[in-house]
Amino acid sequence: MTYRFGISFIGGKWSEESLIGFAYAFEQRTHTREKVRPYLVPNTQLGDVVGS
Amino acid sequence: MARSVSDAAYLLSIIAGKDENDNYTLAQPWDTPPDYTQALNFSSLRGARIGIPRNGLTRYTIPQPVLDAFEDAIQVMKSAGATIVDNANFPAWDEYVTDSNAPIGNSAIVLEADFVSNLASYLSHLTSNPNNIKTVSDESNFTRHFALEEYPDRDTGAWDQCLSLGYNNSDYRFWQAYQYSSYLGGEGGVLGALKANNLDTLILPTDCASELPARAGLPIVAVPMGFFPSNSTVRESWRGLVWAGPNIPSVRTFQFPLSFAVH
Repeated sequence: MTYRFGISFIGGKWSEESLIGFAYAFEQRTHTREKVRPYLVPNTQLGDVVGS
Repeated sequence: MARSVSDAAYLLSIIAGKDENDNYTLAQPWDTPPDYTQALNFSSLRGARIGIPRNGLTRYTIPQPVLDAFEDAIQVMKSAGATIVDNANFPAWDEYVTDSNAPIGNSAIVLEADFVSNLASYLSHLTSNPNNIKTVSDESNFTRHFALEEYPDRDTGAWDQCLSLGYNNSDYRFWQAYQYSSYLGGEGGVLGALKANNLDTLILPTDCASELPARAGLPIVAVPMGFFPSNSTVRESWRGLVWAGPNIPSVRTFQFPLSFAVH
C-alpha cells in the first residue's frame, strides 16, 4: 500500500459540512502543508491559463 | 483534491447537487446542497465528539512517524476543545479483515461486477466506437492484440479477474455481496462506531482511513498531518515511482458520495 501521510475525518451520510469544519479547524491550527518545501513547484497556475 | 480545505469547500459547493445521470446523487436529502464555505469555521472543533477507532490501525504496519503525528494531532484537537473518545472501535472489524483478506471478498465482487455492467453501459453511450468495443471482454481482447498497449508487460489481469466472476451487477450474488460489504463499512464499521459512542466524526491516519467508508458510501475529508523526516529511506514502487521518502507530504483525499458514487 502507499503511505499518504495525512489525517482523515470520517462521518455519516451527508455530514460533509461537519467534516469540512473539523478539517478546516485542524488545518488552520497546524498548517502542515506550509512546513515542507516541495522539490518541484509548478510555475503555472490555473489562473494563468483559464480566462476569467 | 485541492490546495486547501477552503478551496475544496468552494469546489464542492459548485459541483454538488442532483445529476439525473447519476442516481447516487438523487438520494441527497435536500433540493439545494449546503453552502460548504459556511462551514469554514476556526472554532468548529470546540465541543465536537471525536472518536478514535483503534482497531482500524491494526491491519497494516503504520510507520512510526505517522503514528507519532497522529497522537500529536489528537492533542491539537483536544486543545481546540474537542472531546476525544478513545477506542471507539469498528464493531465488525474482524469480519471486515477476514473479508478483505479473502481471495475474492465481497468488496471485490461489488467492484468487479459493477465494472462489468458499468463499462458496458458507458461504451453503449459512445457516439463513435471505431474498434467496436462493447464489453470488458472486448476491451481485454483488444488490449492483448494492440501493440501500443504493451501487453503483457501491461496486462489485462484486473479485467480478466472481473470476467472470471461470470456475472454482472444484476445478479443476486452481487446484491448479497453489496449488502454485506455495505454492512461492514456502515453499521459494522463507521456508522456503528459513531452511533455507539454518540460521535460527530472518527479520525484515522489517511493511509488506513478510506476502505471502510468507501464500502458504505460515506464521506471523508483528509488534510496533511505530517511528512516523512529528511533521513527517510526512499522507497520506490516496482515501476520506479517514489511512495516514501524525505519530505513527502500527505495527500488530501476527498470522497464525496454527494458527487461520486463510492462503493
